Amino acid sequence: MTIGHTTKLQQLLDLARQGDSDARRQILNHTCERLRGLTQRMLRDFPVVKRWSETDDVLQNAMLRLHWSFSEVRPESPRQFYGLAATQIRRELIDLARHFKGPQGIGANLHTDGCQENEDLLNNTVEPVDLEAWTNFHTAVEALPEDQRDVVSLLWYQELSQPEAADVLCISLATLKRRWQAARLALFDRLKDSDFE
Amino acid sequence: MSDSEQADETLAALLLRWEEAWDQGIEISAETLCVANSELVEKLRKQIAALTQMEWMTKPGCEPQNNVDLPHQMLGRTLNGRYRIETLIAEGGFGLVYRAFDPELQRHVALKLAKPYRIATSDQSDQLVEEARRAAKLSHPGIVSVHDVGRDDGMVFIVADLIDGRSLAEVIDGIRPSPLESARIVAEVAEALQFAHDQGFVHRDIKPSNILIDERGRSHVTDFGISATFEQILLGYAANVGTLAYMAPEQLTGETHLIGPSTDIYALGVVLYEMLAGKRPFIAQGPTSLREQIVLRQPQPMTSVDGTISYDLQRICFRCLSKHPSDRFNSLSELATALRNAKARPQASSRMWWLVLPVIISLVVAMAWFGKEWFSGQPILTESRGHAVLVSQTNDGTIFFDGQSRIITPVLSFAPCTLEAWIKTTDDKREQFVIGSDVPDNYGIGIGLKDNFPRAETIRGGFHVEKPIKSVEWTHLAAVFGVTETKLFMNGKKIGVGPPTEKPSHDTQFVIGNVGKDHHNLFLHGYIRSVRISRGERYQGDFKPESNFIPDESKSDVQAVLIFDGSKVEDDRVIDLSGNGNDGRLVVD
Repeated sequence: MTIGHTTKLQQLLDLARQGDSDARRQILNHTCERLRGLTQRMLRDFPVVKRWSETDDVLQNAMLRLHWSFSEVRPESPRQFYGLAATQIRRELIDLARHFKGPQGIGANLHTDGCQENEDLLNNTVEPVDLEAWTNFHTAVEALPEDQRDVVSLLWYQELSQPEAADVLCISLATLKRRWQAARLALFDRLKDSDFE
Repeated sequence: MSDSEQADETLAALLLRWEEAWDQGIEISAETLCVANSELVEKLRKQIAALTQMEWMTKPGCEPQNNVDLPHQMLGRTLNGRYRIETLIAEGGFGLVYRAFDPELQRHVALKLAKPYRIATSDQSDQLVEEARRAAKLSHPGIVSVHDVGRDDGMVFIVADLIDGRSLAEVIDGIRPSPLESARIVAEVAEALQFAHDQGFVHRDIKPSNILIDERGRSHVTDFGISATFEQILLGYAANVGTLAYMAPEQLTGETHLIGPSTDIYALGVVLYEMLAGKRPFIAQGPTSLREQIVLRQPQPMTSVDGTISYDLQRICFRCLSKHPSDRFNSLSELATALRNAKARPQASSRMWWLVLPVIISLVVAMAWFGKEWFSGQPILTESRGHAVLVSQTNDGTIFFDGQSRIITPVLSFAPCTLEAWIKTTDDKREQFVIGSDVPDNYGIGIGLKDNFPRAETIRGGFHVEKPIKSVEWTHLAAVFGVTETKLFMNGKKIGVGPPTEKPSHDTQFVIGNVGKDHHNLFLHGYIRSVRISRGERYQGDFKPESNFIPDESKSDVQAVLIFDGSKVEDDRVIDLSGNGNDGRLVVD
């Protein structure tokens, strides 16, 4: 399934609420795939992690929790769905980061892998390069004003296009762009400050 | 709304403008955006810097490195119950290409599908289907044929001809093909693309990895993934996407109305340069610098790499790489013909010419683009004593200067005099020398540019007028060094007056294009098509410049001391058309 089209998603949500298990499976699979993709992005600085067999086990546990949360809350609109999914994904990513980076975590004694790309990034961006920074990032997103957080959830966590996101939020494309810029500026301030903490 | 809120609103609007341009590959400075709001410059600059550092949030997720599992998960699978995936052939930014077997037709095919971990949106799958539909319309031996489009378990795939061979990128990796072979390959690609153009398609992502060379050495163009029909381009639907190193200036400056067949000609010029010289025409540290070079700079001459590349091939390549689309070949078939007729190796008769002028000539152009009557003809190619000179039907020719060459005249500097030239610059950021006395680092008489502003150089002085010339347009520049004053003219308009020059005390000649031997600071970066040096004050007030200075035989011109025209160059001799025998010498210092 490729989710991204609001109308199609609304149809799936309607079907899921009516007890259609296939629709429910498609929605959950999509959310799990987003979680998998974002986890891989977060862990890219830890190539060694990819060889650890328990990575998938941890991811499986996170996905299981996603299933549970969706069984408890039944979103009625694409906006509710994306909001819930992004919140769950963020929380799982924070937990995953803590799992790998915590005092007893398997990445506890690892530094970033020092690959060239990340050295370049260090000079030019504030993209998180370690699990602590990723935790800060996800936490900073949680702390954004609601309207900005919604935009980040749709554009970054769910990788919707800008017109799709504006459609989901029922706002104009221009408003969406402004909120997207404001959110990134706020996140920059937060991440920059955390560099010096 | 308070002043502070108003300022925030303005700032947000300016930042949006910056980001929209940035997404198109155009970098606009905070100063430029804040022309009307100078008090916001500092804040805007900081916000631009912040967004630049947050750019990673606007890009698709970075795929895990060294993780070969995902592409290989597909191996052994059968899609739509028909295509059995065997091996991974290539992996690009968007898709994976596999070798697959089609048991129904008992043949191997190429199967392209979006990376399984990226096909998250309907946009991406729709993009792949659209690519297939576009390519399926193109049936030509030089274009990879598409046979089928399918969906399987949410994945979209394209089935195309399997070309047994390698991509051109692999072929030229570390090995430079012969000039003859390079010309043949690029001519084949040009012919295939001409077919696509005839069907209304522009490829827009021509590069070595999108050219496949089969086992017989024949070329095949693939990946119409971002090609756009002319109609889409005209309607502005086609976003500026492509591979930066091969993108044409008009793609980078967002001039979508200029994107068309000549955009592919430019990219093919980059490919030809890369094959001939063994490196790309522009090498930069980062994308911003590369964009700047593509838009503003001239490629390095190839002779510094290989002296065996013929002048013909260099001229063809540089014409493809012209900054403005109308300066390039009129069509890909014209390019293909030129390549097939070109001499791959320099011949004895032409050797002197290209040694002397490494980067000469690109064209002159009959350009309706400028809307000027003297640009109404179409360029034609003529031969002049073994070397090609591109001239228009109006008999225009050009000579390119880049600091390595100059014309030395036998005329000693004198005053009063009038110096004038038709020039087109390719660099607007420094002092440039057009015509003047050969006295580097000392006072002389001359005309030039200071940061794109016309300048007259007098002995013990000089002045410039802050009316910029347009660096992509032909400009008539003239200075009258009179007894009581010095007058500066641009396109026939008197734009400034300064003090008179002292009498020349040096026995120095007038030179053109570069002030002196090994002088790497003061030279013209661009083209000259006509030069005239006259006795006395030829102009007093505004006048209409002639399109060239070739004398009208029905009129006598007693003032002219020397007249050069780009179309009247023979080997290293620039013929004086004034009848005074003051031929110039074209030299490389």
